[in-house]
Amino acid sequence: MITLRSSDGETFDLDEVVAVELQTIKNMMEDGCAESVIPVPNVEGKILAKVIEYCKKHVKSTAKAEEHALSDADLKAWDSDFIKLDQATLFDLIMAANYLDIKSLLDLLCQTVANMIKGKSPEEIRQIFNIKNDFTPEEEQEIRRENQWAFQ
Amino acid sequence: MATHIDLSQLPQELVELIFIRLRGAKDIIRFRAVCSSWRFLSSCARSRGLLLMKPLTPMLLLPSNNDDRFHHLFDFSDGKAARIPLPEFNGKWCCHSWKGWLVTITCYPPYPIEFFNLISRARIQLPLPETLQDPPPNVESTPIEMFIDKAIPSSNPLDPDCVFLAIHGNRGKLAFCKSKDNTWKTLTSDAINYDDILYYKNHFIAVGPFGVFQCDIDSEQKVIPFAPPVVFGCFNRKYLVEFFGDLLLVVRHLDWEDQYSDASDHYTPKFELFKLDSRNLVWNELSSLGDHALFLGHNQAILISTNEFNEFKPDCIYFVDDYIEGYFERAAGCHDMGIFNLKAHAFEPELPFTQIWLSPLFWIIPEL
Repeated sequence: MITLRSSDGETFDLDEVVAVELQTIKNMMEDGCAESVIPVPNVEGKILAKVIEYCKKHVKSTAKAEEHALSDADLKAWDSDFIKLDQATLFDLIMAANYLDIKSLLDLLCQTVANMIKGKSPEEIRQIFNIKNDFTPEEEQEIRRENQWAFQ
Repeated sequence: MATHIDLSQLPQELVELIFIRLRGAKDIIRFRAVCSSWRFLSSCARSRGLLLMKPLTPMLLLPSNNDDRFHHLFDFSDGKAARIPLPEFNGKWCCHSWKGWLVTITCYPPYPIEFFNLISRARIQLPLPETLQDPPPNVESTPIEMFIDKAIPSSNPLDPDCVFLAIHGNRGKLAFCKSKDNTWKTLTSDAINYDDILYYKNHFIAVGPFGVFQCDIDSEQKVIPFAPPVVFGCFNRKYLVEFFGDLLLVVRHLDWEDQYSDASDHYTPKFELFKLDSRNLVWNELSSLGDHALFLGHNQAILISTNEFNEFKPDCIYFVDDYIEGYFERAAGCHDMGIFNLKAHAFEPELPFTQIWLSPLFWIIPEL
């Protein structure tokens, strides 16, 4: 059993088999520097809870876990529900998945954001993600002129 | 914790992880227009070769037709055809496409041949046709548009070590040149007809009715038998494509609506697929492409995974016209295009823009 403590003091107990899904934690365990409670200073409790929820669902099949293992299709469906999050949580989850080095979660989240970008105009993308347009009018004109077919 | 997130504030390496998941040329171009940090990120990714690592979604280049002077690029992901001005094509004929490049020949002397990148507009000049073994093009006999059937590079055309191979002389000859060469060199061969060429496992290979031949460019400058022929008969076109290291041969049959008149419309009644058993040098019939789609026409045959590009249907052949004579035999033009479903063994409802065209359509894999 491994215990993680978030930046705001919440603690989470995990089976080792789940903890190794977080590569950063796995490395600490292998290096022998995992103490009884591992602090995760960069990640808030609310976000860490979500990360752990994901890892528990995605834990690799062991003899024990197989009874609870989901089919690929079921897992995909669970993932699609999991990512229905507000933007702030999505953003924080990406940072957490990167810090804790959970490749499959990071892939899922990045693909989710890529899907939000697909098919949108630059204005729409800026609006969705609250990005400031920092091009000068001349720069913007040049950018659009270069590949005008893509801006129709 | 803020409720309004500015996604551009995410660390660069994380925005990059999102960016490399965009597989449509349009999406990538629009991404670059969002803000300066994203534009910079995309340039860095490009200079590190990240953009060339995974191919982008195939698109269809529609020629200008009748009243509309402009070309259009059709995007299957949103069903839209975007007008793309191509002044570079004035006075030129497009022979065929290779990935994101088009091979063009100028219609007046000295008839320069070029590789043209549709998106970046980069151009590579190849040696002039007058350096081909045949006499310079005599436009009374062979129209200049049919002078070069195909020309393909061994790697990216911008690569200084690139070698080019071309089918010319009414599809009867093969000639090659190295980047920066001024002349073409014709390979010695007995086979009188070639349908397609491919750079496969570090060699150029060519297919025709008499089999597949490997091109020995370095020492004897001739063709060597590589694999036996398959499917005899005149009215078919053969294409070569690599499929997970194996060599596939696709045979596209051609038929005429009125058997007795060349002036009648031609169409594709069926396809046959074969995979090479390289140990025994035997072709085995292939009945399915699984989760892949094939794109045929005046282009290097393209195979993609429909898991990666789900705007295309699995186990289907997307084809456009590949009978160039049709554009010259009939004033009306060509319209042999469609989608063949290998699993259902039937033609699907039409490709978008199925209509009469006065010049070829080209499958493009944009390169940014």
